[in-house]
Parts: sequence; C-alpha cells; structure tokens
Amino acid sequence: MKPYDIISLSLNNLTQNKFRTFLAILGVTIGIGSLSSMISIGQGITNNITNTLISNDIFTGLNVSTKDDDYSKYGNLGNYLYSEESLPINDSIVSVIEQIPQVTTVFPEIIKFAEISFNGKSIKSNVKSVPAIMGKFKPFSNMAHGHFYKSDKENSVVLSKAALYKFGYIIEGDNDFGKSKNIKVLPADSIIGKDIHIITKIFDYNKYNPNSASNAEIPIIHDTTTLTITGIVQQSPLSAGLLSVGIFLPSNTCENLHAIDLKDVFNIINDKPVNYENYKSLYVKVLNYKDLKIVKSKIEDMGFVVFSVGDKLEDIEKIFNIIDILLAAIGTIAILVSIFGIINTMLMSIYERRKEIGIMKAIGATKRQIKLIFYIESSIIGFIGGIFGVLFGCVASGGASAIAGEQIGNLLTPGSNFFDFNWKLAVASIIFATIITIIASIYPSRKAAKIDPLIALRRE
Amino acid sequence: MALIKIEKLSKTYNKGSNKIFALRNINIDIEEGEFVSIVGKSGSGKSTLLNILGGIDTNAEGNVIYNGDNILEMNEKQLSHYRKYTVGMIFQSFNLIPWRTAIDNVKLPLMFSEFPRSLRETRACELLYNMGLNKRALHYPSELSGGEAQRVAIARALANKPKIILADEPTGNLDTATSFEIMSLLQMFNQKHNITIIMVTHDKDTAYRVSHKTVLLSDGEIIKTTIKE
Ligand SMILES: Nc1ncnc2c1ncn2[C@@H]1O[C@H](COP(=O)(O)OP(=O)(O)OP(=O)(O)O)[C@@H](O)[C@H]1O
Ligand SMILES: [Mg+2]
Repeated sequence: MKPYDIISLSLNNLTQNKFRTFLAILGVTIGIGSLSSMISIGQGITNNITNTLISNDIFTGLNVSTKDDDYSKYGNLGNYLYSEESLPINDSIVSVIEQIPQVTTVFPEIIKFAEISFNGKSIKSNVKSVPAIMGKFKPFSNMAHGHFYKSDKENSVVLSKAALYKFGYIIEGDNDFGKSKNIKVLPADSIIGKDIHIITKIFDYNKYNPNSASNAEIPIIHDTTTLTITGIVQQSPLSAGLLSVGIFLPSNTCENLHAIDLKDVFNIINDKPVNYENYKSLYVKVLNYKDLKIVKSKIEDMGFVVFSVGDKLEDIEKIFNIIDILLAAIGTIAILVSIFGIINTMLMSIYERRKEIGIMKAIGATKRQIKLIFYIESSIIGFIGGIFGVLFGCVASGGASAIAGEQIGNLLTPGSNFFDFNWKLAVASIIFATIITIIASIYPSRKAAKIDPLIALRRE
Repeated sequence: MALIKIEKLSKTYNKGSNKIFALRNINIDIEEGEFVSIVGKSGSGKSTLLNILGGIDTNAEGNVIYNGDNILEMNEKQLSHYRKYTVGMIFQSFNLIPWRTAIDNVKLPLMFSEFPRSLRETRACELLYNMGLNKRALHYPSELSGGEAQRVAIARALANKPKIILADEPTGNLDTATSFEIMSLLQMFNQKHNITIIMVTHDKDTAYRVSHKTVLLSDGEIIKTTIKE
C-alpha cells in the first residue's frame, strides 16, 4: 500500500464523522494552544525582565569602594568622614582590576554636586562622570533620543528622562511619567543640541581663615560650565546604579568641573592631607552577568568592598524557573487532557467502524496497513490541531501580554512584549502536536489492527 | 492433486461447561475449477467451515492444506496474503463499506495489494462492466438494489484475481429472479475463468443444479456428498 493510499483512506475516515474529527482537532488545538502560549509567556517574561535588568546595567555593574567607605560598618557619617586608614583606590588599582579577564571597563566614579540650569529652570543635582566607552553598552548603546557622546573631552552631556522630568519636561510621545500642570511636553529634537549650564561651587582657599569660628560661612566661588545635550537615555523606574544620577558627563569634562568635595573640605578644615590621586569608588563592568560573582570575589580578595545588585540575579533566575515550571505544568495538563481526548475519540471511532475494519481485514488488509491508516489519521488530526493551536496560542499569549503590558508595562522597557512567540516555538509545537497524537493513537491503532474479522462480520 | 485438502477438520465452541461441536472430522478434497456447495440446516456448521476456508477463522483442529501449506498454521502475514490473493469472499449481507461508492469498494482490495495504482481505475471499471454495473459505479451501496450490491461484492471479491470464491449464502437476501442472476454470474466465472467456487446455501435444489459437488452437513458432520457426473 502506497503512502498516497494510506492518506486517502485516513482522510476518508476523517471526513466520515466530521463532527468527531472537529472535536478531536479542537482538543489538540486547545492543548497545543495552552502549552505554546504558556511557553511563550514564560519565555516572554524571562526575556523581558532579564533584558530590562541587563539593559539597566544592574547586573553587569559593580561598585568598588574602600573598606572605610563602607557605611554599614561605621553607621554614622562622622566616622566615615574622619576615618584614618583608607586603603587607597588609585590608577594602579584601576589597572589591576582591568587585568581581570571578565572585566570590560573600569572607571573611577566621580560625582560632583552642582546647580544645573536648563531652559531657564535650575535644579540642584549630582552630575556623574561616565567615560565615552560606556556608549558601547546598554543603556547608553540604545539611547531614547540623540546619541551618547563619542569622546571623553567633549563638552557634552547626556540626560536621563528622570533628570528632564526634574526640570519639568516630558518628551513628546513618552508615557513613562505622569503629566501634570507644571510639566511641559517637548519634542525630543527641541532638547537635543540645547545647552545646559553647570554651576559648581569652588572652595576659596585664599579667603579661608583656619582660625575663624566653626559656624563661619565657608568661602565659595561659583564656576559655570556650558555643555551641549547630545542625547536622552532610555530609562525605566527599575533603573539603579549607573542611572541613579541622571546627568552624565564625559570623564575629562567632568574632571575639569571645579567643585567642592565635602570630604576634601573637612580634610582641609581639620588639617588632614588631601589626596587628589585617590578615588572614592570605582565602577567595574563585566561583559556577562554570569561572571559578576567571580569578579566580585576577586576584587573583594584584594581588600575592597564590592557592591552589586546583580548578586540577586541567581534568585531571580530561580523565580523564572519556578514560573516556567508552573506554566509548563499548566500546559502539560492541557496536553494530557487532549491526549486522553484523542485516545477516546480514536477508540470510539474504531468501535464504530469495527465492521469496516473487519471487512478490510477479510479482503486482505494486513495489521500493519490497518495500524498505518489510524496513525496517519491521528497525525493529520495532530498536524491540523497543531497549526490551529499555534494560531490560538499566539493570539492568547498576545492578548495576555497586552493586558499584562497595560498593568505593569511601564515598569519595564517601554514597548516590550510579555510573550515571545517565535517561529521555532510554532514549528516545534506543530511537530510536537503531531508526535503526541501519534503516541496517543498507539493503543487505539493496535486495538484496531487486532479486530477479529470473524466477530466484526457476524450478523448483529 | 486437490486445490484444497480438508483433513480431519473439527471445531468446538466451549460455552461454559457444554461443548458445541460446530464441525466434526470434516474431510473434503476440493479440485481446481470445481463448484462445491455446502448445504445443511441452520446451525449445521456451514458458515464455520467457510470462514475457516477463507482464512478468517484459524482456531480449529485438523488440516486445511492449500498449496502445501496448512492455513490453520499460517501467521498473520501469510494469512492476509492468502485472504488477499487466494480467496475472495462474498457474504449474504454484502458487507460493502457504506460510505464508499461502488467503484471505491471494488478498488479497496486493490489498495491493500501490490496492484499498480495507475491501473486500479481501469481494473475496477472492467470488473463492474463485467457485472453489468458500469452505470452504477458512482452509486453508494444504499443507492443500489440487493442484486446490484451483491454484484459489486462479487466484483470486489474478484479484484485481486483469486483462485477461489467463497460465498456464504450469496442469494439469501435476494428474490428468486435476482438469485438466479447471481448464480448465473458465479457459474459463468466458474466455467469461463476456471475459478473454484465454494458456496454455502440452504437451497438444496439450486445447489444440486449448479454444483459439481454438494456436501450435506448436519450437526457439524458430513452426512452426504453428492457428485454430479
Ligand atoms: N461464536 C460462537 N460461539 C459459540 N457457538 C457458536 C459460535 N459461532 C457459531 N456457533 C455455533 O456453531 C454452530 C455452527 O454455526 P454456523 O454459523 O456455522 O451455522 P450455519 O450452518 O452457518 O447456520 P446458518 O444457516 O443459520 O447460517 C451453531 O450451533 C452455532 O450456534
Ligand atoms: Mg451461516
């Protein structure tokens, strides 16, 4: 018997009882639809959250500070400021850390306090030095608007949306922040290229009198630097670490800002040496978040305090795994239900057609041929059910994603999906549907092949 | 040498404690080209014997030798081969597949055999034509008269060119005139194409009229064999 004949006999059987065939296909559709949408949602959530976290730098960045800067150890600012035994972080430490193979970039974290004015409005904020090389990495690699500065010497600045919001602006078409009366909506290109003024305060050594009363005003000079906004960085409320300060300057530009450092001021007042060679903390970026732990322990072994949010990633991955398992369990139950549905449908149809099967055997059909007819029959059900299941799963997970997106979409990367229904999942689902229906039909097919023509042909 | 040699064939059904002897020590030699009728009262074992000869019941004692092989000892594969190429069965209730047209019913045994697909249509048409049914090819069994349905069944039985036709009361559901037509057809195939026919009937007159050999069964035993000169 040729494959063509088997298929034609199977199709003949399927079209015999169209309603039963329809129900069987529907069973597979629902089963595969549930399973594939569960997988799709599981993958979607995992990708979404992982991407969000990674793009926000939490999981690839480390902060290195000296033991004495460890707030938790001292508990009050006084001790922190007056601590004696600083393990210095300087350029030689930077180059040692750069040697660690998993590390891509190391730079000193320089934060300066300033008054910043833009478009006539001013705010008081920290500005942060971020080297131009960080433009290769998220979130700076895909800016919301404009571009990241190309060199460390540029008179440029990059703002976060949160920083803009502090100035009282929302970018047109952006829903990340709530609108209110005091907030103005601006098109992105009216911000890019605009100037921003950074007014820093410098400690005036010349006017400083060590013998003056402790409540005397500290002598100050104001210094203004004008920078051009080159870009606005993508940001979500989950942002931490790098983005906690929303105004980013090229390293040299930031270094050249003359600003008071509180610690230096206190050191000067208290006649302690001011060491301009030392940094307070370093930012270390690893390429792969999986290497975070290794790098962290290596730097800790060097005698520094390392802080990273990424330590928690393992726990988060565990949660993802649990979500995946739960979703897969729901999908598996749906599949089991449809397997039993298929077994039941096949057994019923075989029972109804036992006479026909008996006739076929009496006129020479072999057991193998009978089995093949039923295998093909069920694989057709599986294949068609698989196709509809994929469509159903796609629509279902898309719908679920849309609803979820409305609820918590703002927390994550804007425009992100909570489902990942790719062609691989679609193809795998259809193949899987076909295979499980064939497996489901093993027992019914054997039963069909065993039908005794003698009994089947007996007059009722 | 006999085409089929039935030796000491017995079949018993065990119904609880009592045994039903459906066949007892049957010995018949069936020659090639013979028309053999099996007659007897209801329950005498005629159908039982025919089903054994058709290879659809192998649960019996004794030997049924065809071509040197005992069909009672054949495996599944040999049996389906035997059912496909050696015998063609016709039943009182036609046993056509109701959702297949006449021609599709005739094609069915050709699908299970090695018969080339390209010639299948031609072969089925030719068979139906020989049965005078060329105008009924696309009719479903429910749209055929009893005589027509039985002729479709005969065409189907002949599809794979069997050596033997086994007919279990082929005219049992038909009126006299139609029965006569069917008998003539069987006789024609027997005489023109040298097909061996083994037919079960309760109509002794017809049996004696058409057959070379008539076997009379009673309670599973042969009580008389009549051979026509
Ligand atoms: N499956 C079975 N179980 C028990 N006894 C059976 C079975 N099949 C047939 N018999 C018995 O075997 C005997 C022969 O039955 P068989 O069908 O061969 O008779 P028959 O000659 O064809 O009768 P009829 O002319 O009514 O068709 C009967 O007594 C019947 O009751
Ligand atoms: Mg009978």
